[in-house]
Amino acid sequence: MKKIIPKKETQWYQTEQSLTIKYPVSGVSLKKIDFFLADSFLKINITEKNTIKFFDFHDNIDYLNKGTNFLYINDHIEVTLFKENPCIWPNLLVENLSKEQILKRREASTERKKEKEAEHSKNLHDIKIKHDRYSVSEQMRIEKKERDFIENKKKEEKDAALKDLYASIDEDSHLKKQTKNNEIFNEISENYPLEQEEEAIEVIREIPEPRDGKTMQIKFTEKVYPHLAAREQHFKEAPFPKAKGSTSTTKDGDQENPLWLKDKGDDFFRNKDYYSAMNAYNSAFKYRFYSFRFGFICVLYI
Amino acid sequence: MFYIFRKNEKLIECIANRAACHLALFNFRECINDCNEVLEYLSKISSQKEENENLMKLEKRLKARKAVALSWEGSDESFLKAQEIFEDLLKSTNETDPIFNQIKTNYQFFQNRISSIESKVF
Repeated sequence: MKKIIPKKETQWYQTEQSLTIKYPVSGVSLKKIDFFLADSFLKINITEKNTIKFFDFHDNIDYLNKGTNFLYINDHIEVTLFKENPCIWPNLLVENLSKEQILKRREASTERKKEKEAEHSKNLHDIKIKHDRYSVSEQMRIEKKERDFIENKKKEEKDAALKDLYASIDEDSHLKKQTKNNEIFNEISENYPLEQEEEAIEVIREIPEPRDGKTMQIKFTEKVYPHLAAREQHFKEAPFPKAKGSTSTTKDGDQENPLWLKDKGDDFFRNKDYYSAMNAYNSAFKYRFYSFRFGFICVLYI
Repeated sequence: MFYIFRKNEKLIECIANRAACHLALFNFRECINDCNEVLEYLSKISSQKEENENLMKLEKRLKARKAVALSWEGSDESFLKAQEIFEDLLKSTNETDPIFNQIKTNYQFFQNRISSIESKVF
């Protein structure tokens, strides 16, 4: 199989309405390339390589079309354009024109482009107002349903309230006696009329008792280093156990008593605080010589 | 001397508890060193050991602790030593002792590790 190597020339192909051009360039990014499109020509400006390339077309081009596209793929610049008059061109570029004529042609097309842009910028303000009005009217149309629904509901409630009011007033504009409308009572009395004159018993619904309170158990997460506060996660040395009311200058018996230190260490061990337990045991072992002699002297005196 | 001996007994417990602290913090070498210190001292006091029940229990607890630390240390020799210690302990203790259950659970963990290692190798 032969290798297919892309050619390094400008290539172009067309349909009735569109036109594509491939121009080979290597080592550039799309952002740094400058394109200038007008009626009759295209200008490509590459600043990194200090090159400018002009394409003077055979016929005019619709430069305001939204389908125009500029790409950079495989070391080629691809340009897709749309034609004003749909037909098939025999050539891409204009022929049989001198340099002066070509320059004049370019100037004329640039002037036409500038005029159009000036017109467009004048009308921008009016176009914006048009769009806003249109969007507001559309929004109103969509929300009309919900607004009507709310208004109808308000009407209904108002009418019902007025009905009740007028029903409770007599012809002589006095308030009527309000009878208790218990639906269940009325049903029962219709089906089972009372034989004797007994006072009717009202149906009382049972109100349930209030709920019992429960105690919530709060569970805290385990600390990484239990001898430190929860907000400190890095390792700090555990403190040596101190007796209450003792400072660094005073030397209490408790602080240097190995038995007291051992009990402290056992308490730390039960609370899973291993660093400070080790400190307590080590200090107990350090002071054992002192207490050894102290105990020996006590025995002698006893 | 009796008064001083009682003090020494408490100090031995300090080192034994320190070994447990090291085990909980995964310092296996230091745990084994502490256990060996206490076991040397107890082997010297063989006559007074039989009188005191606490010291007998201490010895068994320390041996179990040492075996667990040896099994996790990583070398082949320590792994085989741990197995020997476990077997000796299980033979010497009665089932009525409360320590027996603890030793048995440690031994079961040890055996589970052996089976998991074998399944991975083969």
